[in-house]
Formats: sequence, C-alpha cells, structure tokens
Amino acid sequence: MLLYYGVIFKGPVLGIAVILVLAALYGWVYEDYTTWRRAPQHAEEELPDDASLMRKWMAKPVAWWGVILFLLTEIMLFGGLFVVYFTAHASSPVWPPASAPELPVFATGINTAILVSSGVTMHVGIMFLKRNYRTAFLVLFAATIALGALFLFNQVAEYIELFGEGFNLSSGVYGASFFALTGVHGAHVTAGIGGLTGVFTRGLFGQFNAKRHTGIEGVALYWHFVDFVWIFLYLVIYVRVV
Amino acid sequence: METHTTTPAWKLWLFTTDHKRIGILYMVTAFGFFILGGIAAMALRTELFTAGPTFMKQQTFNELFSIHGVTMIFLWIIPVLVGGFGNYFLPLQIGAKDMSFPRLNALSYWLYLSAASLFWIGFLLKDQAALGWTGYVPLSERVGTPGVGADLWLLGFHLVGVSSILGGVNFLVTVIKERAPGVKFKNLSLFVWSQIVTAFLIVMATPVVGTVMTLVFFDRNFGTHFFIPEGGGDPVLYQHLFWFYSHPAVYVMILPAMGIVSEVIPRFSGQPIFGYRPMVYAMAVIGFLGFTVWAHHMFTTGIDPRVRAGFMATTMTIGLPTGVKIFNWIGTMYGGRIRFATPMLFAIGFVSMFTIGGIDGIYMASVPIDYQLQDTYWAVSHIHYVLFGGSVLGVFAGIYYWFPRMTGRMMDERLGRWHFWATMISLNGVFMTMHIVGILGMPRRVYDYNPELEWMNQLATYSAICLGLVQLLFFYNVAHSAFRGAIAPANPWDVQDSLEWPKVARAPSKARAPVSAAVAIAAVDRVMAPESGREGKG
Repeated sequence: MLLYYGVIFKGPVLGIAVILVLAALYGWVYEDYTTWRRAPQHAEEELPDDASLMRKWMAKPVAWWGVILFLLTEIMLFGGLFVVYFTAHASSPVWPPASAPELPVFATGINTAILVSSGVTMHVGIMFLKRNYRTAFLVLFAATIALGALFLFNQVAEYIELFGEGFNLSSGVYGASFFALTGVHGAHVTAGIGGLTGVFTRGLFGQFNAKRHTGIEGVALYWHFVDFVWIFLYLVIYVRVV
Repeated sequence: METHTTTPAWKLWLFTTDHKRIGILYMVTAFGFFILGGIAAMALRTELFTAGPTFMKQQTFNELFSIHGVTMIFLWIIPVLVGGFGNYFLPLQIGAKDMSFPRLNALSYWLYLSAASLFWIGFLLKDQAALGWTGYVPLSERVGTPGVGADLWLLGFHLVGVSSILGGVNFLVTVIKERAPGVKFKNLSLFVWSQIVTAFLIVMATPVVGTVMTLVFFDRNFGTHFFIPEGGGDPVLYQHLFWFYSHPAVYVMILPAMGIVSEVIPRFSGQPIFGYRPMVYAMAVIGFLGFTVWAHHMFTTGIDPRVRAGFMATTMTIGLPTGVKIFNWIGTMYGGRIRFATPMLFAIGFVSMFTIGGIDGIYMASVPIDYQLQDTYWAVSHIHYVLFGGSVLGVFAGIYYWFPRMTGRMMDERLGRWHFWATMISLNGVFMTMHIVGILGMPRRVYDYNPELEWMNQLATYSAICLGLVQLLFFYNVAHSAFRGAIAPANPWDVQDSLEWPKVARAPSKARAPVSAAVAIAAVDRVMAPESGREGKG
C-alpha cells in the first residue's frame, strides 16, 4: 500500500501536476500582462454621481464581480472553520484546555496592527493611482507587501515558539482548530502577497492607470478580506471576546 | 460551431474555452459516468438477487454502492445539469457571447475530470474507499479505513467541490454581466432562473464541504482530532457540516431539471407557463429553505428534540414551494393543446415521479416516522424517485428537446417513446418495490437480508436490469441520430420566445423547413461568436 501511496503522491504524477499548475499560472499572468490595455474600463466611474447604487454595482467590471462572489465562498470556508472552533469551545468544560500554553495576545496585537496598516497603505496607494500619482502608488504598494511579509514572518515565529512549547496540530481539538484557522489564514496571506507582488510588478512595468485598475481592485478586495478575517480571528482566538 | 480548416479536431476540443464545446464535453463525460455508475448499480442488484452471498465479496459490495452514489451524484447529475445544460444554454438564453470567464470554465471541466479519476483510481490500486457517498466519521478516519483509497476519495471530493465553485461563480457573474440588451431579470427564462439559484447554492454551500473534507484529511494524515472523540473532537459535527452542503446539493441536483421541465412543458402545451413569478419565487424559496433543513438527515443521532422539531417544520415547509411548482406545471398543461412528443413525455414523467418522491420525503420529515424508516430501503427509494424519476428524466427531456439545437438533427421519435415507456415501467418496478421492502424493514447498504423478502428483491433486480438495458435504446438513438438522423428544421418545436432558437417565421404547414438547421444555427452562432480580444480581464 505504501508503494502505491508513493507512486501517487510523490512520484511523477506530482511532478506532472506541479508543471501543469505552473503552466496554467504562467498562462494566466501572461494573458493578464499582455491584454491589460484591452481590459474593460470601469464603466461605473463614468456614471453620474447621483446614479443609484444598484446601477453602479451592475456597471462594475466582470472581474470585480468574480472576486466578490469568490470572497463569498471564502466567507463560507472560514465560517465552516469557525463552526468547528465554536463547537469545540461549547462542548469543553474548560476553554482553552488547561494544558494549552498562553497565547501571545500583546505581540499578536501588534502583528494585527501591522496587517491592518498594510490594508491602509494599499487603500491610499489605490487612491493615488486613481489620481495618476504613480510613484506614490508604487511606494505604498511596496510598503503593503513589506508589511504583509512582516506579518507572515511574525506568525511563523509565533508558530515556532508554540511548537517549542509542545503545542501543535495534535494537541487535541483546541490545537487543531487554532492551527487550522490561523494556518488557513496564513495561506491566504501568502496568496495575497503573491497577488500584490504580481500587480506591483506590473505597475513597475508601467501598467495600470487612473482608468484601468481592475486587476488591482481585485487584489485589493482580497487583501481587505484577509485583513477583516484576521481581526475576527484575533478577537475570537487570542482576546477571546466570546 | 464554426468550421476551422487548419486546426485539428482534437485540439479544438482539448484547448477549447467555448461554452458550447465545454457543455458538450461535460455532457459526454457525464453520460460516460452514468453508464459506469449504472453498471455498478446493476451489479449491486444482481448481488441482492438472493439473500446471502450471491457472487461478490462483502467488501466489493460496499465499494460498489459507495462508488455508485458518488458517481451518480458528483460525476453524473450535477455535471450534466449544471456543467452540460447550464454551459450550453444559459449563455444562449440570455443572449451572451460566452461565459464571463471562459478559461475558468474550461478549468472547471478539467478539475471535474481529475476529481473523477481520483474517485475511481482506487479500483486500480486495489484499495477503493467504501465509505458510502457520505463518508461519515469515524468510518472515514484512519481507524475506520486505513488504506489510501479514502485519502483519494477525500481529495476527489475536495477537487469536485473546487470545480463546482468555479462554475457557480462563473454562472452568477455571467448572468449579472453578460445579458444582452433588453434581457432583464424580470424576463429571464425559468431555466436561467433555476441555474441562478443552483449557482447560488453551490457558491454558498460547497466551501463548507471542502473545509470538512480537508479536516478529515488532516485527521487521517497529520494527527489532528477534529472529529475524533479522544482529542475532544465531535463526530456529529461532521454530519452537521456534511449535510449543510449535501442537503443544498440535492436542490443543486433537482432545480436545473425543474428549469428544463419548465422550458419543455409550455412549449408542448401551446400555452405560456402558468404563473411565471410564483415559479421564480418558489425556486428562490426552495433555495433559501434548502439551507435550513440539513439536520433532518440526523434525527437519529441523538440531537436535541427541540432542534429536531424545528428541522421537521422547515422540512415540511419546503414542500409548499415545491407544490407551487407542481401545480403550476399542471396549470400550464390544463386546457392546452398538448403535443405528446418525447421531450413532453419525459417532462410529464418528471412531474409525476417527482411528486411521488416529494411526498414520501414529507413522510420521512416527520421525526417519529423517520425513526422507523431511517436507513431502510425506503430512504433509498425516496432518493431514487427524486434523482432518477426527477433529475434523470429531466435530463432526458432536455436532451430530446435540445438535441436539434446541439446537432442540427432530430432524434428518432419512435425510439424515444419506447425509451420513455420502458424507462417508466422499469423504474417503478425497481423503486416502488424498494418502498415496500423498506417499510418491511430491509436495511440499506447491507449485503444480506431477510430471505422472506427475496421475491421482492428479485422483482427489483429484474426491473433494474431492464432499466439499465433500455437505456441502450437512448444511447443508440443519440449515436444514430447525431450522424444519420433526419435534418432538423431550424426551429423544430416552433419556439418563438426563447433566444436559443433562431427566430424563424412560422412557415405554412406544408413547407415547414425552408432553411436547414445547420445553416440557421451557423447563422446564430456567427452572430454570437466571441469577438477577438474581449477575454482580457485586466
């Protein structure tokens, strides 16, 4: 059985899969990079100011709607994980279990501030882009990426510390749900940094302007979502408001 | 489809991002899995021909009913209704050139195919998962199923979920953004509405099952205790999360079929649909209530009686919007000039069989009755009345109805009628018998049974073999008609109010087909062909 296991997951199948995924990613980025000038503009920004909210929404580009609906699925994904956490919480007499180490509430609070400020720098960067201040936009996006990376670095450091105290995935349902929630969030931060780096690089090559910035808006929505979820996570898992 | 003189056909299909081609790919693949799942079902019925062992090992029996369920639900009904009909006809009916994200659409198809291979590859590895289609813990944990087959099963489940989600997002964005001028939400066809509600259910529910399958995978491979009581995990939580997806999933399986039937019945009754708006509201209400009934699958797990009462009430309530739909279909037929062409026969078959499946579902919604019927063949019969008698007859209605649009040729009416009547008789032979053996107490998923029930099981087995074999009529009809069938008129059913059929002036009755379908369809496709350069998404 182990032989088969190896063949499926570690053998050439895995290699082929990785190559296919990389090729698909390359194709996606390449297409975005080469066709950005032909991408549809933001029709909603051409509408008169007193147009109804519904009309403005309906005029938003296809990609914006795609990201919004994708984020809806993400909310349900994190919702499922929160349900697991709350169920374990509700069915345990002592929460967190006595054997679990104390979580670094203050240090993670600072880390939360770092992540939230990265959302602010990104938002201001887009405001600059919409007024065609490209240098300010690029600097602020570089700052956003750096803050995101710093958050991720701190998170990894915290993990290493917790592992050192013997707290890991196998530490009962508390450890499992802690690492599931923060780990899935960490994976989202990593993906977000990837997306931010992608649009930042395209910005360095002179792409995006006041009229054409759908790609950036998509990444921005995603990054705001990642921030938002983290605030919930911090309040629920670290501060334990409930 | 436009003709390309230079590109070889295999490339056209392999690298396609065209919604019609992807729709056909979905349909052909799904029908392939319909055959595989059907063979599994016939093997199961053959095993149940006699009480006690007949010709296979118990483990094989468990593997086969598991793969039968998974295949029919995730690799046949959902892909053919959403991926197949949805992809092909949703853009046509809203006057769109293609889906909003054509490349993503192709990715959905290929992920679906990959997931299918994960579900089936266990047979090659001699380690197929035998988890039912529900994969309850602790059976699906390492302690219950040590082999790698269950890991593959979980990954397959996850992957088919990703494929569904991408499709659902794509469909919703397409409806929101790609409608032709003048196509408003208030006059969308009921088929498109059914796809909207379905896509919404997929988008809201599927991520949860993706999560839960990943958690079980972690339990198996990385030492977590999400659903293992030793570490504080909760096995019943698995069932809650699983059914939070899988109950809406049954509406994913039935709503598009309802949409197809809502297309077919008015066209063959010579009257517009009775009560368009109540039909839309009914679908929306079914979609909403679909999220509030999941625990009726868990009445016997020992959850709080007050919770059970609540879920009993919501489950019975969902019969109301469904009843609205049934009465509206009947109201559409009432007083009309009904043409009993094959699509209409299957649509009427859908309404009648689905009513049986719906009503026995309401019986089971009652907690005390559910205590008696839980995990008996009654439940098997209920799901098959709604999924075979409902969804599959809906698929057949759709194929007979839209075949001329897809191929430019007509299907054989005479074979179609034979197919319909043979299917109806044998499906009732199988599933009505299952109702009775269920009430008599025969448990499902069990290899052996009380020998007193043997003759009824033999009746069910004969009917099941018949049901399987008569589908050959259909496959022969499709294969023959696709290449040798009579050339269809451009608008064979004389549909004047739907965008997927070319507008052809009503011809005098003697010369019905002045223009061949191939020419007319090519003209429509040319108008709707994607312009170059609109794929960019910035």
